[in-house]
Amino acid sequence: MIEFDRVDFSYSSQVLFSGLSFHLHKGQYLVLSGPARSGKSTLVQMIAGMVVPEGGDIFIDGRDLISIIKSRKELREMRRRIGGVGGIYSLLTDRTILENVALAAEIAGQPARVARKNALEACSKYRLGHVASHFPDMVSEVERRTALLARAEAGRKNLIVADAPTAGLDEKSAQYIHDRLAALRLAGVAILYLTAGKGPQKGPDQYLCFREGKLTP
Amino acid sequence: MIRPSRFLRQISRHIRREKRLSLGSFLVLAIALILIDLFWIGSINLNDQYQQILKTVRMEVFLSDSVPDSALPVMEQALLALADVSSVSFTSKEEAARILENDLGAGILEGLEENPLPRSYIIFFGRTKNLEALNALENQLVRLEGIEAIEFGRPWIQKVENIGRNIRRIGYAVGGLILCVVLLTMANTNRLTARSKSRDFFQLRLLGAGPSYLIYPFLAEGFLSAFIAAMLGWVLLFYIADQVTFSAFTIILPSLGDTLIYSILAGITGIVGAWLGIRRLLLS
Repeated sequence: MIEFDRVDFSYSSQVLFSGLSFHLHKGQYLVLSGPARSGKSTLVQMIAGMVVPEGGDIFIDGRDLISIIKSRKELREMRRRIGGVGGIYSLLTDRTILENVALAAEIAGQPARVARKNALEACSKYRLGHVASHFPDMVSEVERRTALLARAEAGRKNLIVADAPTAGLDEKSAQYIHDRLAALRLAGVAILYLTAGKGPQKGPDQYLCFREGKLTP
Repeated sequence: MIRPSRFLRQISRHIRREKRLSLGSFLVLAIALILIDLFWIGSINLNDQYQQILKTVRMEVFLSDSVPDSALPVMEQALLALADVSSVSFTSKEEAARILENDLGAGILEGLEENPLPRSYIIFFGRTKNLEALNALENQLVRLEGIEAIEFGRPWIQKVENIGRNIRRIGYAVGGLILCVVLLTMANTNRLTARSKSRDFFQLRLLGAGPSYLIYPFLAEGFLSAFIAAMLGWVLLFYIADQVTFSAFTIILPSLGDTLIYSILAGITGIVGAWLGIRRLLLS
């Protein structure tokens, strides 16, 4: 699904990745942990096709990232398969929670009626029904992040990139997010979880740590 | 492909969220377009006045004394055969003297051995002729034998044409400036909107949104704003023209078809302005 093969990248003369490699398989739940400025967000940006590596290769669904980026259409299609929570992923401020949840499906080409129906179901499943008509600035942080997960599910994403999805949340809220991610993983969705801490205790298949520009178990 | 209903939803959402910005740019657009409308109406009415003046133009052809009276029917036929000449009116020497005495007083020709006034034909035209056409006709006439002089009020026609030409030039310049105002207004409004939505744009792109989500709603809004502003301007001007009457002349307004075409063109200008406003953000 995602393969980083000896990826090099430096930012302002600071080496972030030096021969960084890892593999995320279909339906796998992988946790990458590392301190601040270790390159977690850069890695997310690379997966989203916003940053290109200086060396090495990145493959998304078997396709080389550089060749995907060269074609706008392919880049759009790749991005449509990826859901995100935290980090660079957030909700649109001028749309209600329901509209935000329906958005990914709409962009993916689902008819508006179908996308709305799926979004309503996802809102109900993620206990967002009572805030479905609210704008993001009117709901709590945990509801915003839950809405991002609901958006990924309603949009039938097969990969979720969770960049510090529980940062700033209390323990109960963090556990709720972890439970939702575990449930998505059981449904066959691959999850890449990035954190500065330990990450979820139950659910992930593998834990890797950033060390000197590489990922180690 | 995004559906029109989604366009309209996105546009109405934007107007709701950015009420002051939308209303402000709409009013600036409407005022700028009304100024163009006024210039257009002014141009139509000036052109009409010019045509009215040209309708009164006659050409007077003075004959040489060497032309015998027996040749006059042939001369008259030759004049009638010229393009756009509807009729001719002959003035004899005696009639010319009578007219002169009527105008300047009896006895003005007393003391002269013979009447010095020439015979003449006044040419009436079926279609209005501008200065260029009148000059061309004059060139044709001077080639006819027996014609001594031609008079058609060239200086004042020239003056009217010059005034019309200058007004048109000013109109084009002002129209061009106003068009720039429309483009800049649309570009600035959309640039401000796009900047305020740059975070949302980023999210849409992360979700794989294509032009239908990112660009088309802006372009559609640009078209609708300018189109509606133009139409409203015309509704207002038609209403005012209906309420106000001048005893000296009647205001001529463009046809409804022309105003519709104009509004569509204004809408297209709105699209260009919207594109100018968002392209940098989209290309970044």
